[in-house]
Amino acid sequence: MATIVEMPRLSDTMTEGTLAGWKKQIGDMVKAGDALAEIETDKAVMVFESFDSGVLLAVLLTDGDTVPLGTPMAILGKAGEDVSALVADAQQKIAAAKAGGAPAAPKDEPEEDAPKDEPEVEAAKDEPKVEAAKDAPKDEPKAEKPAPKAAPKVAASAPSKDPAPAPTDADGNRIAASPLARRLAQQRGLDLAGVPGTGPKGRIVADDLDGLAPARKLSARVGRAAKKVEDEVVRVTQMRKTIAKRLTESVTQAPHFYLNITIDAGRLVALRTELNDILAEQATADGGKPLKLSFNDFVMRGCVVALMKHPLVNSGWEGTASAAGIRRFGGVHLGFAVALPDGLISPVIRDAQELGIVELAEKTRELAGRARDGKLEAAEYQGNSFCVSNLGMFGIDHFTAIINAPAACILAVGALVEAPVVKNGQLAVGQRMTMTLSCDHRVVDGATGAAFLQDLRKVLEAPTILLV
Amino acid sequence: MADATESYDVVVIGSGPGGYTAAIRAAQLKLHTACIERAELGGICLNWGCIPTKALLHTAKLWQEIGHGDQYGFIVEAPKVDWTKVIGRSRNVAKRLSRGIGSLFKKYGVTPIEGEARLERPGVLMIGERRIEAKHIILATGARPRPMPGLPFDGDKVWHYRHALTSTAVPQRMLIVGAGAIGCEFAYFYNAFGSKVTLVEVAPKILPIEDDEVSATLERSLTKQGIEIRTSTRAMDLRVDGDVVRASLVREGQDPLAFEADVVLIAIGVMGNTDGLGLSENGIVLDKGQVKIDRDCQTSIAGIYAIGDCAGAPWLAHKASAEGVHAAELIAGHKKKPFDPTNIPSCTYTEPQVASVGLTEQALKAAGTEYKVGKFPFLASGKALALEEKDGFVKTLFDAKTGAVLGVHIIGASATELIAEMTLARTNELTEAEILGTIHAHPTLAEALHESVGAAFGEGINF
Repeated sequence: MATIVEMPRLSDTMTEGTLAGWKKQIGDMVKAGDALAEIETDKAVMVFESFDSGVLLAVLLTDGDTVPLGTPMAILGKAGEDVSALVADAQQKIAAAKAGGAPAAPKDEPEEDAPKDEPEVEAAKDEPKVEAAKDAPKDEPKAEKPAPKAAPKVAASAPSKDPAPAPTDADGNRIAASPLARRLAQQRGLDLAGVPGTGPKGRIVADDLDGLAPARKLSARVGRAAKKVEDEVVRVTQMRKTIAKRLTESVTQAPHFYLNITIDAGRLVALRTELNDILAEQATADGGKPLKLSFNDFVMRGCVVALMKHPLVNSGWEGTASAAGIRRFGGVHLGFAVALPDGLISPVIRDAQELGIVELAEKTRELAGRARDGKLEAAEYQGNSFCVSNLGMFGIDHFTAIINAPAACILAVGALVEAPVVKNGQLAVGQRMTMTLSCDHRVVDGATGAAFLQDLRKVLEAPTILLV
Repeated sequence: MADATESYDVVVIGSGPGGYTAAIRAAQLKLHTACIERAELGGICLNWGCIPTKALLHTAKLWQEIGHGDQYGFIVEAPKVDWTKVIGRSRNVAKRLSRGIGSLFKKYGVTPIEGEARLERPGVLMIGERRIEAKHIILATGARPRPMPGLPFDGDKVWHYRHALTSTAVPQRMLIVGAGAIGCEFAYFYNAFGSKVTLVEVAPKILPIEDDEVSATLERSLTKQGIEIRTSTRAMDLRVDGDVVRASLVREGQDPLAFEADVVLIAIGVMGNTDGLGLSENGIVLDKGQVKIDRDCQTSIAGIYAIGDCAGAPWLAHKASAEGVHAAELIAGHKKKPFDPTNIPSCTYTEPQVASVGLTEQALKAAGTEYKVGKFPFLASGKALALEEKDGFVKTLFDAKTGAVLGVHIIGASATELIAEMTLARTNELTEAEILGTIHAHPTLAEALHESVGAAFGEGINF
């Protein structure tokens, strides 16, 4: 008896999946547990291991097909079995599913979305490896294909009527170049200065421009693309769809307000240097690789310490308008945004209050690494009670972040900068760091958030407390 | 008493337009230079080619004009031709020029050496017993007419161009084999003086290297003048039979035509003068009788160059001179880029004349190049009307994107003079903008060039 393989649920938030490629071919024997296909979920491309055994008799989807959960994908059975009726039936279902008909969604699908990804981005220290969506679907839906190009007007393809202007070098001296070379330079965006000319008296001729890269010189042409490129509609990945959906919900449902502080990070800088020296010595003694604490590690630890004193901030809005509730989280489940090549994700450190700063830093590295490899379990990026997003490494002084449900607050951390400070009536060079707390007003009021920030400032400006 | 060995920086073998130009240029560049010639200074071009034929062709044109005297208001009754004088003037022009080369050599300090040179080994030439050392040798030995297989030239019934230049009478019936420039020019010339000319060409059109439209226009014009043109046709079984020449004209798919003429002119091309010079013996690579050279005119042996007809097509005097200058300057240590062969203009001195530079429209189509084409007929040129020269047109081809001059094709009066402007434009990479921005005097035939460029870009005024 043939078995119909359906689009599986590979992440508990996915509602549809995209076939990224088959791992078996028609006629192959498939055993339960064999990799059957790669499926792009809302989070990553995952290997789908078959639940059933049999010979692969038919594949019903091609690469790039996106279908709701439960939609037939393939048929397994005995070699030689006639499955044409099943195929016809399955194809009808697929057609209905693609046409937007009700997906054959499993009944146990939770209505509320599990929290997962975040608005902003954490430090991407190393160039992240591309893992998600490695095979972007190539065939675009017909409707998205650009309309056939209209025949170019004669005028558009004609060379400019006027002679190309005589080029000059940086000092305004005329550069000897043939009219054709000048026009080619103009058309290709090339700078003729410094091009060795092989024409009479070193004049630049068309051949001399072969293989030249577009000009770097700042001129009136700067920023003008050498070539016009047609608009392109790119099909979005599941991850991007999720980002779009969740952040839109957050902004439209959670009334955001923002609180801003700038802290004196002088002592934080000193402490970090001291701790990193100790860690380096330890690593040398153990023969291991030293962990290097980042400012963000201190900020995260500072948040944990401050949140323990402010359970009203370590909360989240829950439920619907008719049955509303606020969840006071029992522990600090600290989310932090990690940039990925084609999106972002916020791993969550559960019960972060149980971790010292070094453990917290190690856990952060470990989760961020797996996030970049696309290997996070759903539980590892869901259910944050508070979130930190840091764009300091990009030189961003301050910014605001969108709250990542179910948490009620997110802290947007800017760069640590040297700035003039006044101490005891004296002007001095100090270290400053600006942070912005986005609060969901349904949960946190202005004074609540401000009190939290006051304590956060206190612990970051007297950071030895973070080590306790 | 032992002869002191003569020694030169550069020795040029041959004093045709390639050789004498190379020698003079080398001498100008302070190289101690000699030029060896076995016959008359000036080579074929001055003595037997370009110049004397142009003298004859000019005579033919004037003769045609006299025939049309009434349209100008001349009453010329029963004009007659003194054939001896026609040929005589042509010879005199050649002689004058050949003497001119002698004085130029004197002026620039080129040592002329009479005799037949042989390469002893690279760096050493022998003329008989005379030994000449040369740091650099430039072969400029030219070419000679290629005979039809089994039919040697005899100068009586079987001619090459040289016989056509010096004939003592106008043949009644003339068969010309080969409709390249030489074939077409003599067809025009002898037809003008009353021969019944039949022009046979293997290719599907006359002037096979020219643009299709030009070839077709010239074919119409020559036919109208009375020449019988047979393209896609082979002259087979050519033989002399008593007083006549017989041939079988074979066109694919048709019955062979038995043909009879008083004289046959063979104009199927030339072959390099590369024998007896000791070239292959010294390891100089030849290819089908021509010296093989690179784009810098260097042969396979260092220090030995070859230029002009002995080094292959196109067999044009101005190509030989350009190569001569190039080789001399390289020897003098100048850094020079080889010239682009498509910048060599090609000219045919029939009436109407044909001249072109660059690529033909069919070549552009074959290459898939996007181009713009402009055409201007001389019928629309005031100056052409004034001159009674309404035949022909100017056709200009431009790169559609860059405006580069890709090809220019002129058929009409003075086409061979008019091509100079477009050769300058193409060689120096002018675009349509510079040509259109150049004021052309009125009334001139050159205005037709301007108009043709305008037509290519939708800016034509007078047509």
